[in-house]
Amino acid sequence: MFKEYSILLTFICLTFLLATIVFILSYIFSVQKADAEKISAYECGFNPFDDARTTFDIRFYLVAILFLIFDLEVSFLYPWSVCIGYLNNQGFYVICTFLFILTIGFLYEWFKGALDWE
Amino acid sequence: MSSELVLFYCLASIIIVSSYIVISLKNSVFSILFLVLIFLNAAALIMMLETEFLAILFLIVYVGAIAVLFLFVIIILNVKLSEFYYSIGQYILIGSILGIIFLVQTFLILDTNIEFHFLDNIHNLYPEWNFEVYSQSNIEALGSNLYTNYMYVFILAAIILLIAIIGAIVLTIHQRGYVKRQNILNQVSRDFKDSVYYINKIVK
Repeated sequence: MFKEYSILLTFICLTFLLATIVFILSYIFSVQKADAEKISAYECGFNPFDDARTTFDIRFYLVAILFLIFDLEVSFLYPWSVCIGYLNNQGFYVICTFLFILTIGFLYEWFKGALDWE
Repeated sequence: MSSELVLFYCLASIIIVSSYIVISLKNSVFSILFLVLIFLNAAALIMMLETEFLAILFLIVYVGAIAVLFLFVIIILNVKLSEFYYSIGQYILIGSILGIIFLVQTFLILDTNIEFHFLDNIHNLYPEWNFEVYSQSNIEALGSNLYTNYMYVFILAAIILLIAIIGAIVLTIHQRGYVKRQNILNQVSRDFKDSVYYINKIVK
């Protein structure tokens, strides 16, 4: 195990401890006199008009999926950029093929208008 | 027990407890948050196996992408909370059968004791300097194998990503008929004489 990550573990434990202390202290020291009007949900001072989960455009989902795919592409490129020094020509052509295949997808996405916000 | 073994048992017990919480909560958004907690602890377990790049990649892919997609699916499906009441008795038979099959497969594949690996490193507290200097980092080890030996698997990954792009676009896009878009060529080439005229001219 990496010994230099032990200080990270220490910090995680400290933040967890601190968050727990703050949470518990604010729960103990605050005055809690709850009634139905105080703890019920409201919307800009009024009673809530409808459900909070409204439907929204599927286009947000498409943007999230396309982000995921190109995020993975960058993750694949990162080890190549680290060890490009001792890879031979084959490694270079492999990454060119990889980028070519994904560029086909990117052109499809562009000309299909998937990123245009109508 | 060594400190690594204690850490392993802590992380693994958090994973087991929060995976029970994921399937038992009524509110599915809270379930996603506990799923993120599972992913974080699993990334810490991968970090304990000294493969830090895979751990960071696990965080990027699962927490940054998959959990966000799960949140999207939950909000898009528009499920009410009251629909989640069910009895656990009707799932306990098929669930226990699947769990036993999974455990048997795991013990058949990993035919070793997992604490054996951690107990190896107890007496190895001092760094071996030649190993530290001349060894590859795990990113370099991954890269020098991925782009040479596992070349075809890498190209296959690109094709899978391409299929994912095309599938997501085909499934979710719908073209509306009349959409006002900004066309710069039309805007620039618009002439003054054609655009301002008297109404009388049309009436004649």
